Amino acid sequence: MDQPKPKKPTNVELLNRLRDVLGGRRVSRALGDRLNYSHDLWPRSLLEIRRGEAPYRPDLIIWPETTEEVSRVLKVCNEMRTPVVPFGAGSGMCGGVLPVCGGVVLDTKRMNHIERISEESQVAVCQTGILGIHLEQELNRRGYTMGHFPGSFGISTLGGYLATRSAGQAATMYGKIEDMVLSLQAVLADGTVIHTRTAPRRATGPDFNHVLLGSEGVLAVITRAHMRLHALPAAREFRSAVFPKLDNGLEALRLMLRFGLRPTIVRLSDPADTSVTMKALGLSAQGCLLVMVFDGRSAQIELESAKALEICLANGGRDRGEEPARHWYNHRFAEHFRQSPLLAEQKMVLDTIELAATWTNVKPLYDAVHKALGRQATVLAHVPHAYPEGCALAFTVLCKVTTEDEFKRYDRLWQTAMDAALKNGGVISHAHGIGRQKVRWLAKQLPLALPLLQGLKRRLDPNNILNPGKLSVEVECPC
Amino acid sequence: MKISPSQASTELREALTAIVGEANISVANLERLSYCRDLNPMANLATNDGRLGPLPDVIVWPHEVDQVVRLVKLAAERRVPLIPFGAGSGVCGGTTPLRGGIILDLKKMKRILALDEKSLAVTAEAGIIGQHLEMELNRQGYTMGHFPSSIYTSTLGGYLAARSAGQLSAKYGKIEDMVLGLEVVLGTGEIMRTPVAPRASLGPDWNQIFVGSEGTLGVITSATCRIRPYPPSREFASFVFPTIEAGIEGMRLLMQNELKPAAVRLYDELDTALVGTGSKQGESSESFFDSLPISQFGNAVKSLVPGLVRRAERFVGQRADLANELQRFATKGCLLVLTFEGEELLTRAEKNLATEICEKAEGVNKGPEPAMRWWKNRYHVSYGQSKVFYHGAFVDTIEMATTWRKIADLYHEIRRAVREKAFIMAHFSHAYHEGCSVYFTFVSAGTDVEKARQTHRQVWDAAVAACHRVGGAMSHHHGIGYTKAPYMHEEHGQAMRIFEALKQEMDPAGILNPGKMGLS
Ligand SMILES: Cc1cc2nc3c(=O)[nH]c(=O)nc-3n(C[C@H](O)[C@H](O)[C@H](O)COP(=O)(O)OP(=O)(O)OC[C@H]3O[C@@H](n4cnc5c(N)ncnc54)[C@H](O)[C@@H]3O)c2cc1C
Ligand SMILES: Cc1cc2nc3c(=O)[nH]c(=O)nc-3n(C[C@H](O)[C@H](O)[C@H](O)COP(=O)(O)OP(=O)(O)OC[C@H]3O[C@@H](n4cnc5c(N)ncnc54)[C@H](O)[C@@H]3O)c2cc1C
Repeated sequence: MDQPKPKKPTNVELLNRLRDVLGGRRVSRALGDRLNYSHDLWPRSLLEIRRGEAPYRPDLIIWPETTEEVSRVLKVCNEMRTPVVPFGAGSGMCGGVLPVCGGVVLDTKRMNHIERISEESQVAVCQTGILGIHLEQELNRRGYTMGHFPGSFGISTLGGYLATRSAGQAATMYGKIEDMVLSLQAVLADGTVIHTRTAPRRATGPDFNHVLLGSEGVLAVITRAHMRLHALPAAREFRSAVFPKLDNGLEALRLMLRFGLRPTIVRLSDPADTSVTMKALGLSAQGCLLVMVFDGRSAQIELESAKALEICLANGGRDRGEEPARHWYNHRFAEHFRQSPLLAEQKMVLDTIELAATWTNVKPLYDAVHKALGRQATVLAHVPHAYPEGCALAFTVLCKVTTEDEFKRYDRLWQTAMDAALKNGGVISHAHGIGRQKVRWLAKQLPLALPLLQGLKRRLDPNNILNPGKLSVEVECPC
Repeated sequence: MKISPSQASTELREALTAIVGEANISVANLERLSYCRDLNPMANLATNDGRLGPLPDVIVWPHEVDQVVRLVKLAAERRVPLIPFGAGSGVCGGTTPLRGGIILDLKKMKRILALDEKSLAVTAEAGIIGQHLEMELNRQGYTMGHFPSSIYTSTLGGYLAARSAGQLSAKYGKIEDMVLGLEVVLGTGEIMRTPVAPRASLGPDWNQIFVGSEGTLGVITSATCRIRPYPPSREFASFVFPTIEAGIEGMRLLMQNELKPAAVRLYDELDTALVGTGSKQGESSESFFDSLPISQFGNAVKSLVPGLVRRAERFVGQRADLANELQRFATKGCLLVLTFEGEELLTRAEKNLATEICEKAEGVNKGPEPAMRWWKNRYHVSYGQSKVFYHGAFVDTIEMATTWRKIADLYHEIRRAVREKAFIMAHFSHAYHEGCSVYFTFVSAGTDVEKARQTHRQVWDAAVAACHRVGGAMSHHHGIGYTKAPYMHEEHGQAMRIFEALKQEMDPAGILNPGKMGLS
């Protein structure tokens, strides 16, 4: 295929120096690659794409395979003041990988080795470019699980999880990704390799893992992680209940966790989610459907699931047996992928807005967000994970638009939801992160976070080469 | 004893007084002396010897966050060191005013601001004493689950600042696992309030940056922490394992079977001999050092070391190698103490499963008594230690953590590295899914304070080097202060750049607790 002329001629020196490090085949300037790597799955970008617009484009894509190569390419890019966008699988939902200043996309997916599994400590040492599903499959083969199952399981990487503080379906039991990490290796903008040390806990200063976790590519490229594993559970129980109102279901969840029960998965739908999402999966119910999965030793989970059901019944729930939960479990990844044709279709926008709040705040938050969004779109909501202190809330919004007003309406949906969240004690993201999309509202939620982060970045990445324009209100390009 | 006068100028004093009021500021020597050290053993020893470290120039007691803001701004403008102070129970010199300056004692900020029963969260000011907070929660039917041995003499802010661990950490976590939100006054005087939610994805987690920062990045003024219903039931179990390795294996299996015991403590042979595994003996024992008595070692030791009872501490301090040989007589195996708490339905099931697991792993079931005895005496141990100092000897503790794969190595390596210089015994507490911590108590002495200080430093140098050789964290819950500051670069390597950058951003004037934690 003819090499079309890049808009801005690629810096030949940069190209050559990167080829010196990686060889010719792991550096690309092909147009096809540049288009593919110009966005993630932020629905707003998808609106642009279906109009045939794609405002940003990287100049080069590179595929390093080792930490050492990452270090060397960052050194080159730092010297040449070239932006570098760390890129996992591009399944992000908020524009985290948009190359707003062009430059180099660093795809981590060839860094996909599981380097070691310590059976004794139940720890896996992995490169971060590995897809979640591949990591989990290999662990399963060895008798373990990491317990991280995001809806995007098959199309996202460990590095992406770490960089965005991702949550999987089993977060109720295993926590979010930040709860599973023991230590990280990462490369700073100037090529310096840093390691945090592996220990179950420590008291040796701030937790540097937590500086890198959620840093969305702006502070370092995370190259390796020590992750906690669990033995594959010996047994599994399914339970389902349906509640007349969301309040009843929320109260049941709260009381279960307060009691000390540890379900692996809980998923509570509001009435609309029950009748649309769950129905699409082949489940029929009216009201608010709760599906629960319990994993562990059979004696233990029989006890726990029976108690959970008892709590449901005492709070207005009706027992729906095992089947709805088992059915949902078997089709749980289909949920998301059924939605994608809707987006490809013109004249429709679809997105997920995920928030979190304490139990005290969650119902008022639900009511406020639901009411505000309900005037503009169809709204389906569910609780994807719950904790003893509160839970996450996911709103799926969809509405018909015209080519003229689609951006306006899309942006208004978000503005509405974020305003309501900020006003009602919610956090503006539970697991998807900030990206390009939520910076404005992060500035409201945590006013000091952005200036501090930018200050930290100036010291660790003085040339601002790492993922410029993210976790920052201003877009300042290095070149 | 000669006390150098306070360096605080009249002008500074007046400015401080204008902020906190006459009643909440002092330059009196009595106070300056009281606030010049925490409970780190070298400071103890020096003080007994009539030597003083650097003294603060002035102590202030703010009552509210606005005052803290004004104090921090004032200190920043004048470039005067400002040292946040909880209860001074730290054991690594965290509050020592190395460069003089202002001690900011937070103990008058001690209100409980909110109890959210529905969300299981309590918000309290940082200066509240742990026991006061816990008692009030108990009254309302809750517990925070944080029980450091120093609970009577330490503050919520101190726990957070030093990443403290309580005895029931296996169930409730360390303090960093409990924190939901913080209010922190940065070195610039700006207030950071992190939003309270069970989880969030809002970039880096600022809570986890301030937790463990030991007063170098900001003054924690209040915190929201997880709480749990007060446990309606409690179960106890004890097992003796033939070797330390077998005991470690038992603990590992417990944790990796996803059990959540509240306390998990495994004593090495010597420590086991001292605490006793029987159901009766040692019942009245007030501390380890009271229980050093020979009765537990039998006649062999009696003839070997006459007068051990009276002179135990001195003895072990000066003849560490011989004392370590006592281990040979401690043939009782290794005691594992377990407690479970929560709803009865769950604790009973957990205890049964734990028993099954331990017995399969060579543990001999000793019934609930040894565990109940530990429970009863659980705060005594630490307080017994002070007696050691009366004899010119010193006692210190080393608490490190690593993964299961390395924990036995860490234990043996540290013992090997230290045994020539100090009498050392150990227990393993704070167990997690992937590893646990090991807690060494060592006793030693020198012919004078200077010699003692040298020995102390040698012990630490050797222990930390061994820890870094094996791989692990050089502190699990006591923190760094200044005594472990020299090892920070070795511990973290280039990751210290992150800490330095945070410091420069949050405390550009460099006034917050200067000289600590290996920061430049
Ligand atoms: C259908 C669908 C379902 C989803 N379900 C979930 C869900 O259940 N839970 C959930 O949490 N998320 C979910 N997501 C969102 C998304 O999958 C997550 O945010 C995921 O963590 C992104 O991983 P990725 O590898 O695709 O990262 P990318 O999208 O490639 O990158 C995300 C961000 O991380 C940075 N980054 C990536 N790798 C590195 C690295 N190695 N070092 C430094 N920075 C890096 C990027 O620069 C970018 O800022 C879903 C998305 C889709 C499309
Ligand atoms: C007998 C005994 C037993 C102990 N047992 C345990 C135990 O079981 N577990 C355990 O973890 N520790 C234990 N310790 C150590 C000690 O109690 C802890 O480190 C505790 O967290 C210190 O709390 P404090 O309020 O006394 O803090 P301080 O000693 O006053 O201060 C400790 C550090 O925190 C900083 N700091 C204090 N308050 C604030 C604040 N509000 N904002 C910012 N920085 C602040 C100080 O500047 C200093 O650097 C024990 C100590 C003793 C003496």
